Formats: sequence, structure tokens, C-alpha cells
Amino acid sequence: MTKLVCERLRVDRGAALVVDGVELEACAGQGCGVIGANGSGKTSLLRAIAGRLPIAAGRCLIHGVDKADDRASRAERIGFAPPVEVLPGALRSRDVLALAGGSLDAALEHLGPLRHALAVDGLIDRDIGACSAGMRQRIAIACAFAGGQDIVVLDEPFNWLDPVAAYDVRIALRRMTEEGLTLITALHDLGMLLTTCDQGLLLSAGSVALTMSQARLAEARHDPGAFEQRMIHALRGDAAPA
Amino acid sequence: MNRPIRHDVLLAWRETTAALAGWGDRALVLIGMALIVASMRHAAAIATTTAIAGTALLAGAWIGFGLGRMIEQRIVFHASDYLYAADVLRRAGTRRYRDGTFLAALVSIIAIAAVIELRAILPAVAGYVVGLGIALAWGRRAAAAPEWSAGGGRRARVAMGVSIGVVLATLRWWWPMAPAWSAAPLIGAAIAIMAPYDAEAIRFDAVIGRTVGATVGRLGAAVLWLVGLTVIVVIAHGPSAAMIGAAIGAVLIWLTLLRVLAWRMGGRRSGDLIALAMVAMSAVAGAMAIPLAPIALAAATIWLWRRAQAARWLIA
Repeated sequence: MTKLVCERLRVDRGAALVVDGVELEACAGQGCGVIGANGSGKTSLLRAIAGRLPIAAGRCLIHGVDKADDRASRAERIGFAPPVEVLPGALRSRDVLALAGGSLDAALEHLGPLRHALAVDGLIDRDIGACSAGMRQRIAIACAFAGGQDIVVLDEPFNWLDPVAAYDVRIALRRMTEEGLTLITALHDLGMLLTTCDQGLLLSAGSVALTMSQARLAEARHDPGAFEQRMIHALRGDAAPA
Repeated sequence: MNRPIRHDVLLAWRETTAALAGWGDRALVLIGMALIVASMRHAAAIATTTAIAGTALLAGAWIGFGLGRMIEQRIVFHASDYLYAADVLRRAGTRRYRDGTFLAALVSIIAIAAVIELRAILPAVAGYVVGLGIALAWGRRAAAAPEWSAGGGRRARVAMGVSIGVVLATLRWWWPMAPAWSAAPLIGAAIAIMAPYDAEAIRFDAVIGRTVGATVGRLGAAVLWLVGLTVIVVIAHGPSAAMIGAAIGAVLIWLTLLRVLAWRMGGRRSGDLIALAMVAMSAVAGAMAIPLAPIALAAATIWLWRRAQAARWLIA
């Protein structure tokens, strides 16, 4: 079943048009990766989908109902990881998780396999201000899942994570998508795109420059080197990838 | 109570308890507050009703405006960056957030005014309502305007350019009446010094492990700018005019220093409150005996510097 559909989505920031005409369709149990150069509109697209920015034009269907004009509904229905720098240093992760999930127990339950992958139990009683950047990233990811939404948006979730945590989180996310989660995530690591996502979008100057279907990504997994080369060419705008 | 209110109340409580972690800190603040209240009660007892009303009106307006701006910024933050966006994106949720905070502040203002001087209650409340109204109207205008992309650096360059322009324009060789105005560009230059400082950037300095000296060191170029302008004003108008401007400029720079140190410890809101408390305590010390003011200010700076120095190397 299709959970999230964006049609001709446009996002403005002030007077600037930052996302234009984006088409995206994500089904239950699918991970959709968004890649693109810095400033290509990835974060604006994800924030608009999650209700953190208004949608200027186009449609955003959640479970078949257009919510483009209803930011509150999008924010309620879609889990969102806040940027690590806005997590308040004076609070503990148990405080923000409990508020996001209704209670700490409910929040931890919603995390499923991520609870172990993010090592949340070791973080809940720490002041966020005393956490390293990687720990804050783990808390931010946990916050996105604490509310138990079945659509989650993550913006570059593997930043700051150590290799073990990145691996564990990737495996846990894969497991959760297989169990029905719809994940929309911005990524810079092409390897992560191949191993975490079922489809991909390449954004360039706010528009979709390339879509990568499930079949195309499956094919790319056989030759990640060639895939990487094609993507780099596409990101540079050198030539249309074969 | 909706989630953003619960979150912010908890945050305010934790920031306050963190800022006053030691018994010494708490005792210092309690003594400072007692002294401030005692001074204000003493001043109110000998002041005219007009003076009390005017002061209460201005104070109420200042609090109302500051609180109104802060709440509007918090609503934007919750809606665009944070976890509980759904709560503030609904009209009822936003209203609860605003009304709850504004009502709590109103009750606090009435209580404080009642402790200091009963005649201050009505004008303080009136000023608060007016300040709040202006802040809310301002917030709507800002929300309707396109995003401002210029950073602090650009604002500082503009302000510095304007300040040197005014200095040159008011040189006595061109405009003999100018000396009275010669303090203004120096104050402008000091304000320009404050412009590029951003609480988030200062906090980031702490997170990535920069020392307090490196953060504060950015003031160096701007201080040199102020000194250079002061020399020009001394040459053009004599030392007395320059001294007024330079003194006010120095006070503003010192205030910036206190804020920067306090921001490193925990962000803009709590940082500004700590800096304000330090200035208020120094003012009270100065009211008791003028030589105590610089000593209190120096002690506050050293205390803040040490605290700020401890807040670093958070990346691991």
C-alpha cells in the first residue's frame, strides 16, 4: 500500500524557490533515499514533507489523503528527527523521548530494534549537554521513532555515528522497513543508499534529476563501484548516467 | 498542558537549577535579589507617583515586548525545528502556549509590583499589555516578510561603515556644531561589535572545543576599530566628547563579553538571564558604593569566564 505520495511538490523559503516539481512515491515497507549536492533542496524537501515547512504548491498524500495544506497533520503523522544542534543541553534524553512518545515506556517500545542499535538505555539518564555529537545524533534518531509513526523522515542520520553504531542502525532500519515502516532519508553516502533504501531520488537545484527504482538499485548492488561512478557523474552534472 | 509548554517549563527549570548548581551561587542570587528589591522599595518610597507610574509602565512594556518576542520565536522554533510541531501548528495549541505563558508572566508582574510598590501595579500591567501587543504585531510582520539572509558579519560591516561615515561627516572642519554628535558613531561602532555574535555560533564554539579566549578573541578587531574611531574623534573634537562615546562603547562591549561568556554555558535565553542578573547585581553594588560596581563586574566576569571555559570539548 502506498503511504506517501508527493506530486509536483514545490517549497519556497522566503522569496527563493528551493524545491520544484518533486514527484515521490513511497510504499509501506520501503526506504526512499534522497541524495544530492549541498544546497540541492534535500533538507527543505524532507522538512516540508514532515510539516516543518509549508508546501507552496503540489500535493502530499498520506495514506491517500492530501495533506499539502495541513502542516499540523503532516507533523503529527510523520516522525521527524530534529537537528542535533537544537536538542536542549539542559534536558535528558528521557525528557524529550517521554514527551515525544507520551511516556518513556511507550517511546522505548516504539523504538523496537533501534533501542539496542542506538544504545538508548545508556543515554536516557545523561544530560544532552554532556553528550558527544554522535550521542546526540543517536538521541535525535530515537526521537523520530518515539511517537510510533509509520512514516519517518531522517536527514542524514549516519552523520557523526561511529562505524559500529552506523552499521547497527542501518540493520535496524532495514528490519523496521521490512516490518512496514516507510522511511524517507537524505543521504550523502552512496553505499548507505544501496544498503538502506529500496528506491532513490537524486535532487539537483531543487528538482528531481534522476529516480532510482527498486530494480535499478538491486542491479547497482551487484556493482557498487560502477554505480558510484555514475552517481558522481550525475551529481557533477557531467553527463546523464547510463 | 501541551507538550511544548511542558518541554519549555522543564527546560527553564533545568537551566535555572544548572546555573545555580552550588549553594554559593544560590546564596549569591538570593542576596542579590533581596538587595535589588530593597533598593527598589527604598527608591519607590521617596519617588513621586508620576515617576513610579512612568518607571512601572516602561518596565512592564519592556517585559511584555521581550516576552512576546521570545514566545513568538519559540513557536517558530517548535513548528519548524523541533519534535512537537503538531501541537503549535494547530491554532488551539498555539493559543494555549501563548495564553499560558502570558498569564503566568502577568501574575508574576502583579506579584513583583505588589512587593515593591502597590502604585506600580496598574501602570506595570498596562505597559505589559502594550509591549506584548507590539511584540505580537511585530511577530506577524516578520512572519510575513521574506527570510533575512544577511548574516551578522554583513550587519557588522554595514554598521561599521555607517559609524565611520558619521565620524567623517561630523568632523568639525565641515560642521562646527558637530562635537555634540561625536559620541554617536562610537556607540554605533560598539553596537556593530555586538552584531556578529550569535548565540548558536558561540555554543558551537564550545561544542567543537574552542577555548573561551578564541571565542572572545573575535572581539579584538572590533575593539581596535572602536579605538581608531576614538582617536579620530579626539583629534577632531577634543577628548571630552570622545570620552563619553568611548565610555558608553566600552560598557556595551563589556556587556557583549558577559553575554558571550554566558551563551557558551547554555544558549541565548538562560545566557541573557545570567548576564542580566550579573549586571543588576553590579548596579546594586554600585548604588551602595560606586567603587563596588567595577569590582562586582570584574568578579562576575571572572566567574562567568571560568564557567564558560569548562563548557568545551563536547565532541568525542
